[in-house]
Amino acid sequence: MIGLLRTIGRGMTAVSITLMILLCVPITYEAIARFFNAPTIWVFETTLYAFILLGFCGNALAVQSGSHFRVVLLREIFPAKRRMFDLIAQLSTLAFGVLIIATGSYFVWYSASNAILSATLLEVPLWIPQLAVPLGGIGLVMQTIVQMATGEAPVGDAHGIGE
Amino acid sequence: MLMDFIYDHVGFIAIFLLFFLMVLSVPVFVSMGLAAFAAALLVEDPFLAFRNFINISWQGASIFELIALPLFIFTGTIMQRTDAGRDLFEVTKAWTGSIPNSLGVATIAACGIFAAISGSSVATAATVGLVAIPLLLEEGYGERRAGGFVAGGGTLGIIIPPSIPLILYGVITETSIGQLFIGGVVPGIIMMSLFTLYVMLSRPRVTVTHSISLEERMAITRRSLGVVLLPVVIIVAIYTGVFTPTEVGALSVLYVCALGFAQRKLSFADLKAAAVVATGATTMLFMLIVFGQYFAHFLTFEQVPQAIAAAIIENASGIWAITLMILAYIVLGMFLESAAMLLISIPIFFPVAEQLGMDPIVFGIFAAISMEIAQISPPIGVNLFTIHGISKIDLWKLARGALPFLLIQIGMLYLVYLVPEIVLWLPNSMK
Repeated sequence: MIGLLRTIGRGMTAVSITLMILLCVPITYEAIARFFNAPTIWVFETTLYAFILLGFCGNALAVQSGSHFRVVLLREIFPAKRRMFDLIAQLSTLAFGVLIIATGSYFVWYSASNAILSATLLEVPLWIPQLAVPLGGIGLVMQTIVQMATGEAPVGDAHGIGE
Repeated sequence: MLMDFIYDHVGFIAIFLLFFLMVLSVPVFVSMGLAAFAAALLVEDPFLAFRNFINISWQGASIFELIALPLFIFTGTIMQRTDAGRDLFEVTKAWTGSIPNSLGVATIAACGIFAAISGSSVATAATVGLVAIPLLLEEGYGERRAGGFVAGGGTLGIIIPPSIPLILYGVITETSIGQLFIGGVVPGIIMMSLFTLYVMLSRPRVTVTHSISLEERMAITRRSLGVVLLPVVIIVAIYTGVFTPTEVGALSVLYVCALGFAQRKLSFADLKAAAVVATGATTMLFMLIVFGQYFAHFLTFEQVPQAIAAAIIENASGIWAITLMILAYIVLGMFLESAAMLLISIPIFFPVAEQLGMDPIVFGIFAAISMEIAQISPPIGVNLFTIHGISKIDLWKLARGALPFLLIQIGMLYLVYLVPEIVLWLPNSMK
């Protein structure tokens, strides 16, 4: 079971890393196309949806690498209670992940059943990019379950680079 | 009676819940989302609260300008992999060789240039620190000053464009990110000059000089020209409006990749490693923004920022209100990292700044300098932890070393408020 969760998490991580590497390509293409008075109708939307997918799917990696910022002052002051603070954080993250999955799934269902399209020339069925929300919730929940079940501490230190 | 109290104070209940969850070490984005959702359940129909949660969060995610974030973060993480810190430090060392405390000055200059590429304070401190700290220690600056110079110099990453916190601020307040970037140029140069002046005057003076011939200086500079020129290209591209900040971010990624591969300093494995770090950092910021926007929307709907703004303006005006904000930022900076601090504070302080007559661009720079203070404020200043991580210098020694930079930044906050023209002059010339 844990192995399956890890595999799904790795898949999500691979998607988000690939998007990170490729994100610059269409934007550069658009900048050049605009320079030659030939702007596209697809770059704006596709890159935005790719970014949203990257942001949500990246949760599996972010939980695993401990990138999500936490105030750990009390946890440091009371080292004997660390396990308790970690458990509170993990249970809260799980609850929040479930909330994201539930609301995200409703969002997708609502857009699909009402055939809602994006208000652009591309007219993308919005349920497709909105799938990123429940997927992000799934990544958050699965990686947190892996950490709770295995007692693994986050690896790596991506936190702080964005500041 | 109880329900009336809850209805009247639900915004403050949300704030209380937020801090309560954060203190329990719950991730900040989870704290923001749960606090606002739980408070909404107290006063709204549960299904409406459920729908608002996802609708507002989706709006927070669907902002095209946010795409600049991963691009500049990725530029910074690639630069870290290509030894750019060493190249930059070699150049700045070559040109500052004959002035007092020359290696310290070279450190600040390298931080300033790297900041103008990466937009990240931590990436700047980590990249320059790895190269500079061992040399600074070797020349006798001592651990306090060596670590302090890098921690302080690293904060320039927040104000010199491109700047990740300024992108966040622009998105939250719907202020032009291009104008914010350009608004940060003059204050960034002033701050870098003040940092340099402090380093030159700091005691005990280190007398080691690095005098080299003009030919050698030119040769070193030519070798690193690709990196040194990039900040100029970025700022000119944004200033002239040829490219949007997002496009500049994309071009920067491609440029540093091409440069790294051409100079054989970047492999595909390095690129993947840089992408992993950038993805973790981007997701952290993305989730903070999405659910920070939801939290901010709830507070605004409940009129909390307006109430706080009115209370501040009623009890203090002008310079005193600014002093209150600075104190609040110093205290918040002790417990929150900069992105979280920005997302929590801006919805509350932005109306105060508006009532004080501050231009949104001026307040953006003011907020960015406040973020700098948070980066080097103990106990959780992220720059201090970064330097501690790479050098093992004691955290409190680092905090003492960064204190003069923190005082300069506080002075800059007052300067920006009292003389807003230093911020607005360049952006106004763009129009």
